[in-house]
Amino acid sequence: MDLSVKIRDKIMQNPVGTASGTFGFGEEYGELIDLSQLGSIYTKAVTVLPREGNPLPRLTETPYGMINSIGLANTGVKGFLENKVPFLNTIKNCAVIVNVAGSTEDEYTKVIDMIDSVDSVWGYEINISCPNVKCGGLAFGTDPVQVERLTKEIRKRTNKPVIMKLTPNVTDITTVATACEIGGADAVSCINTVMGMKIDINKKKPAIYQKTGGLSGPAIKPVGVAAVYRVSKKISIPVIGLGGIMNWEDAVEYFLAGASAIQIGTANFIDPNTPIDVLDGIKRYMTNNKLEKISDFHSFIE
Amino acid sequence: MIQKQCKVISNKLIAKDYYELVFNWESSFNPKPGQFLTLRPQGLPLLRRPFAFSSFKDNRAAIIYKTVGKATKGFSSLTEKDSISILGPLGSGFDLPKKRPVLIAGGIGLGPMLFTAIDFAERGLSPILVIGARDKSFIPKLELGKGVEVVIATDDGSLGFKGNVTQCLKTEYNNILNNCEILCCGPHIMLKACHELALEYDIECQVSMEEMMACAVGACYGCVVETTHQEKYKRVCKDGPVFNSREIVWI
Repeated sequence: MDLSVKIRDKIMQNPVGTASGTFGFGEEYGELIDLSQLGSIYTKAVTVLPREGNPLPRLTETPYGMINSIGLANTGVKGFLENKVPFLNTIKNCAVIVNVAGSTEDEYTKVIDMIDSVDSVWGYEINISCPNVKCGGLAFGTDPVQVERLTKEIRKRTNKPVIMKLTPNVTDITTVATACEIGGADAVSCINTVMGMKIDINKKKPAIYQKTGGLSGPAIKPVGVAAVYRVSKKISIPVIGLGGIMNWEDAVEYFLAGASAIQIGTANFIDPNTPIDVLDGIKRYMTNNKLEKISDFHSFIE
Repeated sequence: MIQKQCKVISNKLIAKDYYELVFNWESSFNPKPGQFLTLRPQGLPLLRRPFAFSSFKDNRAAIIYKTVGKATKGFSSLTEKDSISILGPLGSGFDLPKKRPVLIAGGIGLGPMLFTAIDFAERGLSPILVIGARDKSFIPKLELGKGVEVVIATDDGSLGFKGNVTQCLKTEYNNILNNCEILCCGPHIMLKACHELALEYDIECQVSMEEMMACAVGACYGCVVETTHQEKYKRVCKDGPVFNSREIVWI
């Protein structure tokens, strides 16, 4: 059985990764699970300058999901280099993919220029889809023209894999995915959180400070599966599926929809062992269904 | 920290709406007073719920919880036949005080303060434990052993002092307040009042904060509180839950 996933000219040992923002920089979860068994870790977003994040409350729970509005809190690229890279250097076998966010093209490319020489950085996931910051992220991700230009600028600066992370909060996700492919991206991640809102009817106020936030968890899985299905039919670069994967059955659903790899997000909060359990389940399913490699999943659904 | 399935030893109603859940905790990770765990609900809701350890001895640990929503009502039906998924111990505990400790517990904050009181008594620190509640029905029967002086304050005066915990301390323990350290856990409004009391008497005050949590291990930055540090927001789960009250921006 071959579990490997090729993106650009690099190989991930298996298709199971942990989604950005749910897994820090690996350090916290490294005490609970063996990181070297993971295919990839997508770090918390890194921006040029430190960001304190949004005022609280930042979280609320909803039926089959949760809404967050963290606001890309991070120590900035210098803090990343000083405080996070030393730990990332110790992670064996697993691809460390740095999630990069910004408000302008310049902010994205500066981050990449500053970390591209770090050997332990396997590749980048470009966050053009965060619903929780006012001036950036989503503003890029909803406009195919800007997405293509940004992707081209990033492509010029690095030979490492570039993965564009797409938002479902658009009219047609396939046009944005196409812009990524034309711009020279090596893969796309589908999907970031779905914009959501919860209102406390007793206080007559939104449950989180930013009023709206990003909905994640099993509630959004069908949205993610549909996005992966549609995008993978439209473009020829690999699609990385995420959104509400709680167990191996959910992961298999994403592979059948057209995903070449997957990410576990909210489920890490509920059971930190989920990525390992999902990987074991994928192996059993492949054995029982006589599938040799991940691309074998893609031949079932037209 | 570790995540493991733990056998339920007992799960009893100890006061109105308050339960004590005792479970087997055989691990090299020994909880300290003030540290917490997260408990995974059976089925829905999804997110794990944080609770402070209320005791730990001889491979047995416990929490005290109040039934408020679906998750905690679900926990109340656990029996000795069940096992539960626990992630812990998490966060920082209380620091050992330099002066006589005055432990203040409000509502569900009782759990960690009981654990702290027993631990401090064993260390010979002669803690005073002040418990605040709306009325006597919310106060469980306590067996704290020697070395803990227990003071009770109820809003309606149905047990102990009539009034809140800070009024109680100022009225009946004014002489001690000048030379003690406060450690507290309870509703936000009570913690703020304890902080103000500490400023008034120029004494130290450790507060155990509570916020909605997702990961509980420091990864998601969901459970932050506003602080006076240059890094404005600190994580309750990882940087706390215990903070020096002077670090917190009180709203």
